[in-house]
Amino acid sequence: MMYDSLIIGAGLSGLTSALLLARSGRRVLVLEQHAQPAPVARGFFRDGLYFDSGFHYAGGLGPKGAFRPLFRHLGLEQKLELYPFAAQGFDRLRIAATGETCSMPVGFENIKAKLGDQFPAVRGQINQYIDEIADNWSRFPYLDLDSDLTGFSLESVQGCSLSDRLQAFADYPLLQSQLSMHSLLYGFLPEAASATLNSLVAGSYYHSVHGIVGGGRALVEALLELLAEAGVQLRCGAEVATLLATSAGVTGLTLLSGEEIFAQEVIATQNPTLLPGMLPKGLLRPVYQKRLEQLRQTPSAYIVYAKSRQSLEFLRGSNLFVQPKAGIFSYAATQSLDERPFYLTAAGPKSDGGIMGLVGIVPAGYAEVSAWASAEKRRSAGYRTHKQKVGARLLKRFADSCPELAELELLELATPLTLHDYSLAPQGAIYGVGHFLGQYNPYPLTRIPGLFLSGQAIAAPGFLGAVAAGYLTSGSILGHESLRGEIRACR
Amino acid sequence: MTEQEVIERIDSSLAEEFELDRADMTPEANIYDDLGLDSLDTVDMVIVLEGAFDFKIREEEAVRNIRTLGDIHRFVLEKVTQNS
Repeated sequence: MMYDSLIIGAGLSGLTSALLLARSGRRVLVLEQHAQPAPVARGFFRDGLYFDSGFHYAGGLGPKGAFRPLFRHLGLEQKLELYPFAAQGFDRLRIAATGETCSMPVGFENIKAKLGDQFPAVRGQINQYIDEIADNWSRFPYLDLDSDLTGFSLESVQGCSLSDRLQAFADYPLLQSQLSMHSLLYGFLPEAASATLNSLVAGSYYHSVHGIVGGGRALVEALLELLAEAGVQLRCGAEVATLLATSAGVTGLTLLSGEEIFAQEVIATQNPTLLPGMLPKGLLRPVYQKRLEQLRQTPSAYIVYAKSRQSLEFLRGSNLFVQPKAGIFSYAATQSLDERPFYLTAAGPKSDGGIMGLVGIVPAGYAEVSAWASAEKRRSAGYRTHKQKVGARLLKRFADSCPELAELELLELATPLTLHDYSLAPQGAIYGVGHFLGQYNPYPLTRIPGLFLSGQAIAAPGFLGAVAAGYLTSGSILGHESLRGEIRACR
Repeated sequence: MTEQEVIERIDSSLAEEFELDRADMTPEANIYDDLGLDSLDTVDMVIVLEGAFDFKIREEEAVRNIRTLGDIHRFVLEKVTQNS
């Protein structure tokens, strides 16, 4: 079988790219190293509960939301049932030191009213800040379908940081907390993030917030159905070792098994720092090779999956962010587990609707577990003990900060090593390569004909970012104007 | 740094990072037609210059208007003068 396009990685951007390319008539094969497609987004079942591991909630899918036309164009709208998050507070922020809790309502106007009432002295500046986000969040390729797409832009790379932007509210640390908490959704600190990136990510949620009935699992199953309808082939347990390429272009790839597969197009969605090692030496110019290799990774995390004795009603349609003290969101790898911020979200509901489990995410560094990185050490008693200790300590931490919680039982603890296993991101980077201020992330196009990049590192983090990356890469291949035209018809 | 030193640093950095032949690198050389760069290389060029001179380039319009190696020299010299 000859293929036109080979896609490395069956994550959300790889599956999106596969679907768009197959619909344009290409014969597409997706290669996934893991035993199952979309290992990060698909979630898992434990003790009769469904837990999401990658996808938790989506922004920008409400009426007139900029993500909606893509969702419709892909065919996901017909296959998935969405439910809105709590209008009065889709996310809540709690300051652990004081127990103060603030709710972030859905919608720019509601946010302005809520924050303006809470901080009347700066109501005007709040309105201006939120208006900026409302105007700017969807100015992003494939979210903005009307303006010039390919302008060379240094703004998001060299612009103002979120921290600098929030200095305007320096006298109101609790306000700064609320306006910076969504940095958890791109995985790194407001001082290293452009206000533009924060505007895109946080702004999509300020616009509208939805969950998917059935979670990330349902999302992946829907994408796989669409891929099957489009004739895409998928091979799991297929780890790509090298790309076959010369300066004249790619000709295919080699699997770890030694098997060669040929095609004129390869779309690489893996962490881009891994790409140079898969290409013949000397093929990339030194500047570009270094640029890929030196891309900064986002921090990793511990993720707690726990079972509850009682339904966790306080997490129904509403997540909880806990920060030790008020102020711009911060975290350091040197902080003890008890001092770090954390994020709680509900497990999938049982058939009677009860929320009998939770997912808790706490930032962590790879160094905390790197001693157990080898397969052999991973099976050691020391690693198991470490996981039990961390899990117990985090459950206690959650309980101390959240009197709403009933008794919890630890089911699983994912560590930076676990995150690495599923995503292959170096150091278990939770969002892979980040979009840091001052860093030029790569484009879909490379100088090697037929070789394209996709994934969160190319566009933006999360579900929206991965889908946008899939469109951006496919548009680079198929022509942006025709693809954007199709999406405009889906508005 | 003298003007000549600045130009030398620009040329040697670009030669190394883009694998260019120093003999082709005259100030009149068009970076696209003569040196073989393309629009994809613009960001890499910015990264090389930022690394070589430890400054940040925010002048989008000026970068977009660069056509020759001499344009790069002038652009960097101006920035170096501003910063000193």
